[in-house]
Amino acid sequence: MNVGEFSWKHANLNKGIVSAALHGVKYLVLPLVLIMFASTALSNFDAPRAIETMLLEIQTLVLIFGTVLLVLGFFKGAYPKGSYSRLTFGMTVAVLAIFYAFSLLLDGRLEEELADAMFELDLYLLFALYFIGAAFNVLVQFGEFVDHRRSWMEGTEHSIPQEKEDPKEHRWIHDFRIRYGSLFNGLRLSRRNLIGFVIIPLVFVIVLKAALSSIDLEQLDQLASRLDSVATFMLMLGLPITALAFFKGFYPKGSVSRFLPALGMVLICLYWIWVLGLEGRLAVDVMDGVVFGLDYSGLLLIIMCGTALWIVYYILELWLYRPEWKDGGFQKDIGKKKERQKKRKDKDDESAEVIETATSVVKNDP
Amino acid sequence: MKLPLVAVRLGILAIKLIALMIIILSILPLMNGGIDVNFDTANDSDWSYTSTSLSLDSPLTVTNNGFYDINDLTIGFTFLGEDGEVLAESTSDSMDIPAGKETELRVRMTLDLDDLTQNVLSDIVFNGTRMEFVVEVSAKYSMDLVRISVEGGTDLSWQPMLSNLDIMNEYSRLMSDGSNHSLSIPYTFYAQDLIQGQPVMVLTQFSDSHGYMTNLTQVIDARDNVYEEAVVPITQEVYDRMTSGPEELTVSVTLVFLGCSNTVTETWGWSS
Repeated sequence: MNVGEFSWKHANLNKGIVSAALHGVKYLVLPLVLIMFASTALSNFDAPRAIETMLLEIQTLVLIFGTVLLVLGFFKGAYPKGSYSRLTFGMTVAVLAIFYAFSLLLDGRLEEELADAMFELDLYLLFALYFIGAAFNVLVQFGEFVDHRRSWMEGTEHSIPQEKEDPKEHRWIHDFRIRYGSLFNGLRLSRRNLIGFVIIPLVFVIVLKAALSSIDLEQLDQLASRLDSVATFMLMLGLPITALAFFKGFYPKGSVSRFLPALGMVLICLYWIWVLGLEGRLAVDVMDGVVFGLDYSGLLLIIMCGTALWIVYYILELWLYRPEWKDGGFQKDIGKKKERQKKRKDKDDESAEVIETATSVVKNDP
Repeated sequence: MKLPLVAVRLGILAIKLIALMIIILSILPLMNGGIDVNFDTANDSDWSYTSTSLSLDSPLTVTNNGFYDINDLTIGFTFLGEDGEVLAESTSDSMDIPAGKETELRVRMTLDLDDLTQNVLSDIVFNGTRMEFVVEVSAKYSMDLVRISVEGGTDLSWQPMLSNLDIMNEYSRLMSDGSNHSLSIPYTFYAQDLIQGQPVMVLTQFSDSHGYMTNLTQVIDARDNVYEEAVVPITQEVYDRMTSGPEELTVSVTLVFLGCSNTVTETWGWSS
């Protein structure tokens, strides 16, 4: 690691402030607002004293961790992508966020108080789910570093020249070359899908099951057992979606290597909706001998049609972006498009200048 | 982002919003009690009888304050016997209940007697039985995208149509009109309101210990408490035997209704 990369000359104050503000909102302001709402709600419902005390403890933890994360977020944002300094601060933020979340469990006391006041909810299980998502966040920092390292090193003696590629030699199977991929984009999309398709639905099932188990009603047992099978299905389908999302995000727009995982994702998503929608049929034994049935498969099919349109979207994306990607020399999809265009323009201007100088030298040569 | 991609994304968003709107507009009225069902208790609904069927006609008022019409509302009835066998099935014609209106419906369920086996019909007419009565109400809602059904069953205790047949032998008497002799045998039975005024065939068979036998057929209109007498003709010889000494008499009264029959036999000692 080059310690010089921590030098303040590489940092950008404005970017640091923006990053600090975002971290402040995420880790400090939002939790404090939630605590405020919780306190107000509890005071209206005459909640036990122990919960109010715990909320104060949580507030203190939020203030401490939130402030530290805000400061670290400033440095993470200030240093440029691809530098060891940004990687160090980024990883520290990601790891500290995990400790932050764990500390909010108050060593199991929060779970006990919730069990007394409402229902038994396994907060450690919820934390385990959070941990998986947060662990991905650590990897995302590493992915960002790997992706931007080359551009950060450009112009130094450590820079490795990029391989030139002849577009005529490029076949569609070559789209799967790892060098086209962006680890950051892949991991980020993978994390987003893991949260959307696995973590949030599982949290929903866990909370719903805990709430149902607190209601002593025989009819709900059937629903609770069905929730178990739904959770298993969500896990079985959510994990392949997460895996495919990595490749979809990893490869750039216009590549077959992005299109195929995207197509797979949509197909699995359609099945996911069908399973989560309980196949469009619901039958509940509402009373002794009275069965309430609901067949909403028509409605579910409309939602599935909407989702299936993503197939059209990805076909169009492949068709529209492929020429652009080809013209751009099969570059990996990192940074903003405008940024990339500006860099390319600068490079073209530089080359034109060199050619112009060379031409004038040749002309002036007697 | 390219324009065609934006258009597809907007299309996806539009479809999802439409689906969401349909769900919200379907659920909200149901949660606010937008659909009200009232059975018209003023006009008593009761079973009615025709020669081939038993039917229950019940007026129903449905108020639909929801956003969508309720279409293809059907009410199905299934009668199951004591052993769970299907005795009869009946489904009403489909009815539509427009949104924002109060609609009066007539729910009619019919038990077709021709579909019943002789044993089941005999139980319904003479013995009474227990039936399981299953009702299934189903309807389409939310632009026919959602089908709602409610199914429930209940035990139905069926009272016999004709019951308490009894030969009142203690009130039997000899009658003589010169050369014509007869024996009057009173009998009684009870008929359910359902079949009031319907013709019931009564077959009376008389025999004595000497092998004399005679029959009489009557057709009686059913009413609450039937008290009738069968006046069976007897010969001079039988008349003489009955007036001169003790005699053992046997009388069978058979009620015939809907092709089913029920017989009561009495044997008693006659003394003049």
